[in-house]
Amino acid sequence: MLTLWRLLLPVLFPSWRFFETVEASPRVEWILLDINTKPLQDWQAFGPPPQRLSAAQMLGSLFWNARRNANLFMVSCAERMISEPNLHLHNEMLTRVWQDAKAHAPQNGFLQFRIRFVDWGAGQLLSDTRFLSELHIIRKGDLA
Amino acid sequence: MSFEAALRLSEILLALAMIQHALEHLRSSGAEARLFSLRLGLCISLLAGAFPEIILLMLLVHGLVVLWWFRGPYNGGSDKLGLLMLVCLCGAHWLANPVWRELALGYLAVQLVLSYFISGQVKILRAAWRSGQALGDVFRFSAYPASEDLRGLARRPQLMWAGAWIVMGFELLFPLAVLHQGVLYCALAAAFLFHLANACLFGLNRFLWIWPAAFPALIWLQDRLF
Repeated sequence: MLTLWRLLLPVLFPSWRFFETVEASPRVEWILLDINTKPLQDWQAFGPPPQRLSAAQMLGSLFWNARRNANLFMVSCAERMISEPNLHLHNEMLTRVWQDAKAHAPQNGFLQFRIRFVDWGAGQLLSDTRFLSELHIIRKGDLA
Repeated sequence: MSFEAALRLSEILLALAMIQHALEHLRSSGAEARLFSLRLGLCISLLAGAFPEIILLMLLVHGLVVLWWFRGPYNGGSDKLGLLMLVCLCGAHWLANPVWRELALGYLAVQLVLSYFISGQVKILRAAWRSGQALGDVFRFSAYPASEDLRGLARRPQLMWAGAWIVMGFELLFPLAVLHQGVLYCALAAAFLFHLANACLFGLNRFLWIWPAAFPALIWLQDRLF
């Protein structure tokens, strides 16, 4: 009940401080490893945006943008995972990362994900990995 | 606009916005899809208009379950405004005293004005926003640009400066539009274009549908006060 009130109060009395500051931004990435923990590829971005959107795609996204909204939810999960980590958040992220990775997964091996923050300083992009998950076992093509 | 017309129009627009939200969740697996199928059914009932006070209450309970399900809003501000609308519309139906019912709808209208004004006020106090650097950073490295090509806009500082001042100017001046009905309609049209730009550039499509759902409350309040 207390949790619900904690969630509800910002709804009843919203702060509306959209984009007050632009701070380091999280990127969720995953990697698959074989049974000997040897990486099977480079780190893969979770739900990267497309290189470009045509006018028709942009128009369509006004009505249907499920994938994009799921990605923005992951950004919010990543931010909370750093500020107030908990098992529920971790599992939520793992489930979504697995949905992205499973098409490429080996029969047996491991899945790992990380949260990397991107910032701008001294005229260049800066990167800082602030969370690295444990290795999650993949057995018979599924997450164990 | 009468109180009853504003209430009904808000219900219709809210139902349409929530149907759009719910459909996007149906692609998810298992329990999440079932949860949002229920919302879809409730929204269609709200559109039909039978017993809206009961449907709104059910949608509010459903909204709280969704809030708990994701341990917070799934889509930030758009989910928050949707829930706030449900609270206010329930109040506008269920409160016993007609004055309180008007206060409930009025609270929604005030929050709509504040959503623009506070957002502009917090920006203009920041040097990074006044110089255009903050908007440049949004494009340069935030998670928001809808495509990688859009990041190139960050290399156009004059455009970023102009864009930042247009956004801040619109947000800060929005409350003045309440003083005149004609100006208010123009401001609401500008607000729709603002949300359209955010949807195209940053993929924030849910804001485009949920914010206008609160417009009738403000049109009614302006009519009621002036």
